[in-house]
Amino acid sequence: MAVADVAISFVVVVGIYAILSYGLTLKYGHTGLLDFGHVGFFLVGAYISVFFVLPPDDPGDFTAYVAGLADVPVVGNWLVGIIIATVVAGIIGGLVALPTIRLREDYLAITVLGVSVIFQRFVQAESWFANGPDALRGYSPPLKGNFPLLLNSELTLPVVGGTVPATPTLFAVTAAVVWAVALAVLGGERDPATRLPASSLYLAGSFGAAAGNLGRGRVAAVGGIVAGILLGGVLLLADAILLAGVVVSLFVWAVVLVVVSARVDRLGRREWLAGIGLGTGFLVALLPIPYAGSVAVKIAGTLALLTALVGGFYRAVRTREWFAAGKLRIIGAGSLWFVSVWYFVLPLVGPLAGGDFAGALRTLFANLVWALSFGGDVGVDYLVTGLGSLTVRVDYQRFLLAGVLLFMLGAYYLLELTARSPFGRVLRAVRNDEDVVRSLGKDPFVYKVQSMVLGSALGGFAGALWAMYTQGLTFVTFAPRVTFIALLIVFIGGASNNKGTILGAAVFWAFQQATTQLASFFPPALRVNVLAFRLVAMGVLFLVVLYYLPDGVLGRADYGTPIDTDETTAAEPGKGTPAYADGGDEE
Amino acid sequence: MSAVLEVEDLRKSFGGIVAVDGATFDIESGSITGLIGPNGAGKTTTFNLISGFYEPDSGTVRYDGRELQALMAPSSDERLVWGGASGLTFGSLGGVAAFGLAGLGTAASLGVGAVGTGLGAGLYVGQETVKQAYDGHKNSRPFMLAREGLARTFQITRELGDMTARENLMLAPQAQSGENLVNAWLRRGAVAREEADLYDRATEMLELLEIDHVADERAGNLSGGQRKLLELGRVLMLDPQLVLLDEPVAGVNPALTEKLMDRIETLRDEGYTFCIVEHDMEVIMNLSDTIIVMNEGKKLVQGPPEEIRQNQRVVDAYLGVD
Repeated sequence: MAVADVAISFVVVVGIYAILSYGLTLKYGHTGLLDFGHVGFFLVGAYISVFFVLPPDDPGDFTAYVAGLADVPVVGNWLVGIIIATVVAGIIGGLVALPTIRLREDYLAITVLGVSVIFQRFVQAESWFANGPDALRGYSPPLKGNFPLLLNSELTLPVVGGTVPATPTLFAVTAAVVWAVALAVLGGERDPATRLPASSLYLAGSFGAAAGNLGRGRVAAVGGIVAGILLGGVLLLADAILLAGVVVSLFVWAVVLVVVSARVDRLGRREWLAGIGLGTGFLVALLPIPYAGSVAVKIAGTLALLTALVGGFYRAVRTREWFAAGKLRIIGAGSLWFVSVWYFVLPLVGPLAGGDFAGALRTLFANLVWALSFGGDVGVDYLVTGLGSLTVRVDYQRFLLAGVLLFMLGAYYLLELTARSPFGRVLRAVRNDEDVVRSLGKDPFVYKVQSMVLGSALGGFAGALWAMYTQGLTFVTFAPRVTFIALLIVFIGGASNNKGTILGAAVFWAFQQATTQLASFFPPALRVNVLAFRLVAMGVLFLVVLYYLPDGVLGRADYGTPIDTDETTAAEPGKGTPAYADGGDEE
Repeated sequence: MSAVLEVEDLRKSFGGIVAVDGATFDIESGSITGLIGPNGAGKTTTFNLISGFYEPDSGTVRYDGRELQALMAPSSDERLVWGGASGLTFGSLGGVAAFGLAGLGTAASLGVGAVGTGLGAGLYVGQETVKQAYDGHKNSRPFMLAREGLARTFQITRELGDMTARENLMLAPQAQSGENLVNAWLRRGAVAREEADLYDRATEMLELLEIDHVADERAGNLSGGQRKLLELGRVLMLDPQLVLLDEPVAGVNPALTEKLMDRIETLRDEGYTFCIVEHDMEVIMNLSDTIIVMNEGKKLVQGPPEEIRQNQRVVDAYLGVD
């Protein structure tokens, strides 16, 4: 699997977990409700949605489930399934909340944890409901039959009926979403970097600037959708899927570069260099794992090097003021550097070592043009000078990526709207002190129940996406552990920071991804232990975040201003001096 | 002048301690009433009982001629939601159990579900009836009183530390349309206009209290005196009819105390009613129209400040020898 494929499935999982964690961001981060049973609503959403796309249960076979509505017209599809799953999860969240929400933090946490375990045991024990302890399979994700995208295939429109050419339509949809997201991010950049010389970057940058001045992300997003539709039109007229893939991919890279370079400008040169040093150091520290012969040397070498790296970092924080001031940004720069090397350089090492320059070039090209899947038997063949023959296609993961990104951004926008409204203000007040809310004529109970309903609905929505992604459900997946993963994600980014949740999901799954890859360098017998050890490492990560970064990486967000006003006053982490320093009102 | 608040034989005990022991007094509309007494006299407990934060053991409080317990009773909408939720839970559990565990058919399961729904709703109605009729249930839902214009501050300031001073104030006003989630999502223009008005009102209040320089500072970072002022501002933002102030000027500097007293008097003249617990005798004597002295959970004496100053029992119990 090419690195691009790994990265794409990574982003899909991050997106689903971000939506799941948004439920907890609302419940815990904004309202202060410690819901240890969040996974219960994830479960409800997953199973309910699947009942809408499963064929009717055949009593003759070995699987048994309570309902399969796939053959029912209008109702039996993913769209209805996801909507109903979200609503049902919300209603159940409300029903669970009504009797439990009066409890204080820890009692509430234990009670809802119990509820989530009941849900899980119900699925496990009641074999008539969803095939009991065995996996529930036999459904396929939406439009899956149309992938990989090939020419001449046709797409049957759900509900409406009739057919349209599959490739241009789906490609246009995917590209429109990806571009809209990319440009919305760009539009959010207040200060697009125009330092980078390449004209395409300059264009992207000025487009972003124009969009930023016009209406922030929204205009940019509309631009992306229009561009996607135009691209679909081009594809309809000419067979140019490789060209389209190159354009989409390069444009997104350009956007990424503009966003990153804007950050580079904010970071001084020496901080940037320190970050590169840190990233390289991390890479070097991991080298014993693939290259050392014995297991003992692998573990000891890596641990020793990591200790040295952390020690060096700690010393730099202690002795250099500029380093201490920008330590999180330096870690960010280091991570960026590490990920770039992992994505672009490491895959080339193998072919280059074997003297296969064309192969290395092909790998680089495949990773650059991430919007297309390369290799394999199925696909459209091209002959490109310098690269040799390429077989390209758009696989299902790319389509799913577009959908999940769209939903994640939608959830983010919904949470921003909520947090910045007077409703969100009451939620924050409830988190701070319920008695004050009571004394001001607002019933905290009503707001806590609403927060539970909305948060649980988001959990259910994520569950439906998860069912779509995994194409099979077992009760084991919905263990209480998932709640704590979501909680960790919420804590990493900053408990009441909506952007932080996405960052948290990315950090957590990067950690999972990295350990999975590293575990493959150990002998098979040890691999299981290494993967099991991840849970310990997760616990340590939890402690480190809570101890060193109680406000999370991105810190507290300022939601005191409505979403449509200027954001120049957005709070920076650590901002604010005690007001009484110059107040003089004391005594 | 009529009494806005009538307290009659109010009692509350915590374990062996009788905090309020048959307090009876009236508060006149449009007046400033001082409530003084030694530590442990039951002043703050009385405040908590009047504002609905505690349930009284016995006795009645009438606000604007209406019983507090009646004011705080759940509305019929709330009863409907609870009854409905109870019915939904019992009904769905019954239906699922009939279908899955007992193996009944779809129609029979739906029937069991319907019976369960009736049972759930009935159970709720039944326990409510028993609770109200036989258990002497007392409601403690202070937010209902604040909506009616009976507002209070806390003795130990309870600022919302994570929120800015201005947000603390903007939270208070009643019936904000943006507190409804549907409006917050879909009618953003109207909500934004309302917010702009609130923003200006909050700024005016901050200027009045001379803490506008910390408007965008997190309330948790403010000094003790600033927090007192914030607490006062928040309750005034409610636009209440009767304000219970628990030690409003403790920790506030003399010049500002003077200004606050002026402000409270101006508000009194505009028709607001105040009841103030305060240990600063100069403030309470200058400000109050009437003073109630409490001791050991009872009203010791009530009268205008000059009278109180001369009263031998008050001097013995509280003021001390001058």
